[in-house]
Amino acid sequence: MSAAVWALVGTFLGLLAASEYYWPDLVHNVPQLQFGRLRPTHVNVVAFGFISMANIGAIFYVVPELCRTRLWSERWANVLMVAWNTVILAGILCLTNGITEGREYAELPWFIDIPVMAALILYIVIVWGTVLSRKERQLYVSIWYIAGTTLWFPVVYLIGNRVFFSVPGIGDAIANWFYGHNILGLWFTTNGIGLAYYFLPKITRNPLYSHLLSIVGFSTIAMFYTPTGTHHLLQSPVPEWLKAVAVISSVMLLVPVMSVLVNFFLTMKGKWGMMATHLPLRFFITALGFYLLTCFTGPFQATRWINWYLHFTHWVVGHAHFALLGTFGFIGWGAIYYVAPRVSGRQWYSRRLANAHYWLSLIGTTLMIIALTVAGLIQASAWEEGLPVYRGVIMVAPFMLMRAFSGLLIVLGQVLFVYNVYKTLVAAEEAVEGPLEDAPQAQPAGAQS
Amino acid sequence: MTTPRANYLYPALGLTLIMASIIFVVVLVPRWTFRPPEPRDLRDYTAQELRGREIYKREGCWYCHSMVSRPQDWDHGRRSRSSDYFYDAYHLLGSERSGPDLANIGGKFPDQYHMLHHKNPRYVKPGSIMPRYDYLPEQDLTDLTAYLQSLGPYGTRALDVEGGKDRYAATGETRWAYVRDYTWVGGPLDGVTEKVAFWKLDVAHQRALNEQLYGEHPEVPFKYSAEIEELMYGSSHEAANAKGALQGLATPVFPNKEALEEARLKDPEARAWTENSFREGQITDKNRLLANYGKGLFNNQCAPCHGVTGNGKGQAAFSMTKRPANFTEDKYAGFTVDAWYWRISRGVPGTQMPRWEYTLDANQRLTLAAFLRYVAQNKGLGKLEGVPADYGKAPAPPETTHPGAK
Repeated sequence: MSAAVWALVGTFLGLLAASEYYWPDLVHNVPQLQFGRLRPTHVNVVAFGFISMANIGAIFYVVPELCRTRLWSERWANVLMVAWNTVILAGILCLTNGITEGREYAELPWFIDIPVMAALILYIVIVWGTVLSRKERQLYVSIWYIAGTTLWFPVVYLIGNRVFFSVPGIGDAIANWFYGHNILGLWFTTNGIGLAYYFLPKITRNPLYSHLLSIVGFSTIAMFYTPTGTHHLLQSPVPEWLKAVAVISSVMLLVPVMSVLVNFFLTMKGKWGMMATHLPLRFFITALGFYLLTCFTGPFQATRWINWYLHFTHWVVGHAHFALLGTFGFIGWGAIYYVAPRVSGRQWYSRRLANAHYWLSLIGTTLMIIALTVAGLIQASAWEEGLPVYRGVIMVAPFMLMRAFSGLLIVLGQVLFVYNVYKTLVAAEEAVEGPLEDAPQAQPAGAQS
Repeated sequence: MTTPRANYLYPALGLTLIMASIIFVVVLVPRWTFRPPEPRDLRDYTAQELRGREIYKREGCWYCHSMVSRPQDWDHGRRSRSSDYFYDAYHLLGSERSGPDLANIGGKFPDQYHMLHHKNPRYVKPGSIMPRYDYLPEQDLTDLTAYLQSLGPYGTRALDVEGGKDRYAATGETRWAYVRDYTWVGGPLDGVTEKVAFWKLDVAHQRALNEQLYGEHPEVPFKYSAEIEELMYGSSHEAANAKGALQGLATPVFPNKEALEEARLKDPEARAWTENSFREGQITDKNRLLANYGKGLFNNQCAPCHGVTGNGKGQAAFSMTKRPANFTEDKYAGFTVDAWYWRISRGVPGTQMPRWEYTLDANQRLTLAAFLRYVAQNKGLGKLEGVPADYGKAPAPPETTHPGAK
């Protein structure tokens, strides 16, 4: 799976970028590897290379399962895989060579945007082709999420990348942040949550706690995520009514988030012990834990007074790692661990490697979030005390070192992961330590289901 | 039995419609209704500045340097307006400040500073984590510098709306109004020759400037400047109004800061008053108006932290890690008006004391300085109470045509 390779590349670039926060002269005279170019590359590779690809791969497994049919066209799915990888590669080359639109999360230049749009349209056709040719009458909530995402994400991408209109000046920032926030909310979140809606009941063999809650979560997520992007611009001169809408909808995001999380945690009832024996489930539950924390800090920092204090600090970067690495990275890994043996018919090569990958990622992610959060608080209080910016830079330097170290742990985890994937799928070794997953225990007598 | 598709079609259509209307409201409506006004005090970029902007974007400078000055950044200079971005073909607002904000950078430092800073930031800012850009061609660095110098109200792009630049020329100030000394710089020492040359230029310039500005006390700002890292210059009427609005305070603003500053230096009566303020028998009508204004300003702006009697026990003091100064302590009794004026203007590094030079104009700071000298010498309000009849009342702000004063 190319997602695994991109995970390695992406986190390695992240490590390099994080190290340059501590050793600014680490790579000198290589303009391609300066921080200003590494950072967009890191973001795009992780977002489009690793997480999107892991999500799409898992979706191509989940959707046919739920529709009791075959994928609409496996040939076109393979074409999509090749195309997507080519686009990512081209994107990396552009970004590291300074060809960029200079707009956060939408850095890819317009001639990369067009193949991305084409790939997205192909993806829509495959998903909807599968859904429309289904044998199962009921549409499960995962399909709602996944199919819904295919409808709105191309629109978000179009607007965010200014393919059909351009806005001068600060209006550009509004469109940019509409996209910047919704790539998270209407692409990673909806896909990731859709996958979790499939995997959790499937693995635990518990019925979903409440279908009503899942419908509430789905129908509100699209409504409340769409206008939130402007909360990145709360202190810039954009219309006040837009800021008000953004803040209100950011806080209202607690509705879909809590409905989803309550649903998941109650679905887990009686099966928490499975986390010890079932590795993919452990990834999913960890992701949901991070999701819980993300979604409490998100509305918190989007309110005006908290944003007044925390905006522009490392806290926000930490929050982004919470969401993308902590939540959707873990869902992506879990999905790969779950789907790969079922698709290839082979057991994972090594359970110990997978375990080590889990713990390295978990410790690395946690350390990174702690470092960035504390650094953000230090920065914010330093400004509040009237200290000049670069005094703050010196003060947070130890935390930047800690962040680089956590990046090292994560990259180590990815190395193990890629080795494991290689041995399992390519080198076709037999599993050496038994499967990653144990079947769920039988319910003890008298337990509530 | 209905068909499966009919079950889901209507809710799906409804959701899609709602979604489309939300997108319409938050993306397209602002695009039609929200047009930044064309700025009267800003010109378009030149070709060189545009090239610099491209380099700024290409190298990803904006990932660490934001370009919006917010209401709470009151020591960053003027607050950003939407018209500041009128000529920007793509926005470079940024979302992080690992480096300082650049919205008002233009004119703060001489070109040599920027060139040196791009080549190795640690020449001028030890501990900086900015990468070195000395591999870029000289032309790129020059363009980039031209772009940076064009930004903000003191940048080259700002038009001379009210003859402000002429006033600077009259008081002997250059475009960069105040440049700190770099003699304390540690850090790596490659490129020594260039750096030393830069120091020399800078120190000479500094000294000349201080002598012009502070007369017989050129050493005062010079000593303090070692503590203050980023010096910016300029009072902003707009920032004052914004800050006043933020706190619910009305802060009347005098125009012509520079003229008043000059008058203070040259007018013997004003000079004498600053040295002997509030001494009985020396309060003239002209002075009393200003002195009372100082008291009013203190009540509005300083008393929340320093307390109404200047004893450092204001209502907001309890939340501060570094307690506000208690002016009744003995050590403050010896402060001259110049020392007070400097302290008010530049703030106290490491505390929450702001640089009032961005919020109050020279005359306001001067009245405050006189008042503080009185408080420090009399250990509190003392005999001042009840003396002036128009106690704490601000003079009516004069007519102004400053663009920010609307």
